[in-house]
Amino acid sequence: MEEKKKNTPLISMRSVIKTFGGVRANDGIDIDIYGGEVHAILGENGAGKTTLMNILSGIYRADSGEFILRGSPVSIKTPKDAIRRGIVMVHQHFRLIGPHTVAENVALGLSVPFISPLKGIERTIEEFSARYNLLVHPRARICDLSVGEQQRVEIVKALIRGAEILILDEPTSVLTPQETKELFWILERMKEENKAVIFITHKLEEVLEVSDRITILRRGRVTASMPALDVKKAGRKAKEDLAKKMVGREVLLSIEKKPVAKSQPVLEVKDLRVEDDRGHETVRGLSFDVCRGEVFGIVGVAGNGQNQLVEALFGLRPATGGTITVRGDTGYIPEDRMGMGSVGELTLSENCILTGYKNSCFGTGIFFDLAYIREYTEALVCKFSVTAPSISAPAKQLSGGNLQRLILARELSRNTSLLIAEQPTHGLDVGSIEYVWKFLLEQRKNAGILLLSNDLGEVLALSDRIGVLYRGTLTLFDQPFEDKEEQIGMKMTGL
Amino acid sequence: MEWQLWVIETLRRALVYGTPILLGTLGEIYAERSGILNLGVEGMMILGAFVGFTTAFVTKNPWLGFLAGAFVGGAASLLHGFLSIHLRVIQVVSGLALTLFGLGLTGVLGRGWEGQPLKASIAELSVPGLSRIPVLGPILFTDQNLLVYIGIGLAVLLWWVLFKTSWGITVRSVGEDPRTADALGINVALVRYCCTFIGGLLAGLGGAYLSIVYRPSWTQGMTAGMGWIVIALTIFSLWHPLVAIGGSYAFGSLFYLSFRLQPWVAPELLTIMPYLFTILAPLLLHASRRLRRRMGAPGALGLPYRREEE
Repeated sequence: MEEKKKNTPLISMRSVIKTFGGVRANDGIDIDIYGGEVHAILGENGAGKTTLMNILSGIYRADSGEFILRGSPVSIKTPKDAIRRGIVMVHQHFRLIGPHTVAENVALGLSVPFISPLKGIERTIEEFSARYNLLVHPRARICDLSVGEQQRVEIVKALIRGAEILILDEPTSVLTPQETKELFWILERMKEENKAVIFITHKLEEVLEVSDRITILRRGRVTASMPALDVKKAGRKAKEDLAKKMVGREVLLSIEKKPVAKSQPVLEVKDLRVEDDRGHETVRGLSFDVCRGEVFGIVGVAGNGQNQLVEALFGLRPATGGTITVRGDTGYIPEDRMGMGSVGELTLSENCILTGYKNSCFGTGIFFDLAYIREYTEALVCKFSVTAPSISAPAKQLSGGNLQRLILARELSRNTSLLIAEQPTHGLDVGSIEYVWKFLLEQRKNAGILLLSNDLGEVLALSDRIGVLYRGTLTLFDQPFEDKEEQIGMKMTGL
Repeated sequence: MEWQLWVIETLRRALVYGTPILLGTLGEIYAERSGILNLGVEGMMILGAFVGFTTAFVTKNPWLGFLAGAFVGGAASLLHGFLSIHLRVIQVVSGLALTLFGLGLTGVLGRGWEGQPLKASIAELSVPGLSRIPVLGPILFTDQNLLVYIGIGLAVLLWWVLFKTSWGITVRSVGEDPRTADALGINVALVRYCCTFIGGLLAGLGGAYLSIVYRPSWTQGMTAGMGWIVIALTIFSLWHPLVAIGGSYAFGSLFYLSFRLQPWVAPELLTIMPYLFTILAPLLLHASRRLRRRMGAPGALGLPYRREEE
């Protein structure tokens, strides 16, 4: 067996249990991490991946369970304990301080000299940057860096802390294909130095590309753990196999798209120009239209003007030039589900009527028809399979996938002529993604859909036409996309 | 030539009036840089003023008075610290409570002390040699008290600590993003307690200065809103200790002018000047988009931090 060939694991976790308010996020997890390996942890949202890693890196404390580091039991109670033992986590939302410089971020928490603490650090950053081919300027401010650069800062930060076990939580969700390649190169380099990398993700292709061992979590338990080679042997069906183990049922990842008759445009944008908060023009003369019966997909790496474009479409940000014409009502599925898509403190049923409460079917005058609203919500919750304790529970109790289903339910049932969906499946598990896709495609029978996403796979799967947004300008692509995939990918990175 | 003397005298007195504001502001800058909004400055100052005065009166030693005043301010700030760091109550409420508590308590305890002149104040001094420099000499080095220099010295020291030392990085990081700092092994609560305590010490010292140097006596409510000016000035100085020097002395000169211009302008109008400016200053600042963007408030200002809560 392969396990026997290797020496003892770098770290083993044994029967880890963690409960949050009655929910077992981790229910007796055993896991072995070996040096010189990339260990992928796969699982749906809420499967307990991030909780487990937060425990390993000392942010959460397990209710019970033990850690064995290089054969001897250790206790990890605080982040400091973890760092001292060489366990460093790069979170999905980077733990970087925006207004501070790279060097200040790296120096934080290290035992640097009290006086002029940054002198030595700046040199160390440059050394590490050179060794791992990470280009990071020590004096740049974090908020001026791209997401990919910020991730590099996080990795440099971890390496300087002497990381032996590097935990990456959804590291590629924000990267361009090129940046992802660079990240994988760095991971290879770390493997050569016999470090362990734990790679948390739900992107199946990447798991097969980069990992040596795969562990699948489902509802807080390990459902499978195997060398990646075994999966690859299964050949073309490997992806489906993994997906099945993750969600416990078959998942269609390539969705069937029936053509729908295109009719008149519902959104026309002409030569739109928008500036961001700093006064930089980030949308530079965009022109496009969206017709009823089609999905127009705008794909691009985050930060190429998407936010300003959407804000301008909704009048949240003044356009500095150009015109926007909308025919009919607009439904909106925002990227920020918690902040813009719902009100966490309000109940499910209140959230369900947030955008349509003025509709006469919900009540008369200043009074609501509460019985009807309850009925309406229950119907939506049922139709869109939202898993919730009850319809009078606050929306903040829902997991990401369920909250997205609720928002989807609300916006789709309004039957608006235009629907703007911004990153509709960001951070969702495979099961929910399939769900959202299916409903969006269904909806284009009655509406025009503007889809904004930085996931090329999603845009290719759903769109009838594609626009690549790069530095505020669009390049349009028409069907068929099959042979243009690479071309579109290149355009996203500006090549 | 008379107007020149006027200007010089105004600036000289601005240093005297501005010093307690500077001390309080430096302290509040540290508290807010670590993420703790302490609206109890007025309360800590009045406590410092009262305890500083009584200590100096009884011991006949002004320096013991300063020490005691600072300490009481520090102790009061720990109360706010406990409420906002440990119990995570709303910081605005806890701070306001501290202000009301300070004003009320000193009002009760201070009755017997009203109107008694303090004989043990500190001497004014002129720096030999330096006081003869034209313009700067009469402003900076003639008949000034030691606390003025201590205030400026502290501002420079605290600026240096905040921006040039490893602890400064820690403090600013805790105020911007406690979760990140925590993940890197920083003891967020400890840093916040320390900074809140520094804030209390300096507010208390500023209060003691009022009752020992500025007007060596005790009057109920003698801080007269200075704590609020401090809070406005903390914003106005962009949470930066060196900018606070200029801001404090600008307010100091307004205080002085409100006395000097009385023969010509209605005294009521003049006494509202510092407070009016307190309202206007943040407005002016807010209007400047460039400034707001470059140096906003600490990211986690006023937000309690709890670890196990994603």
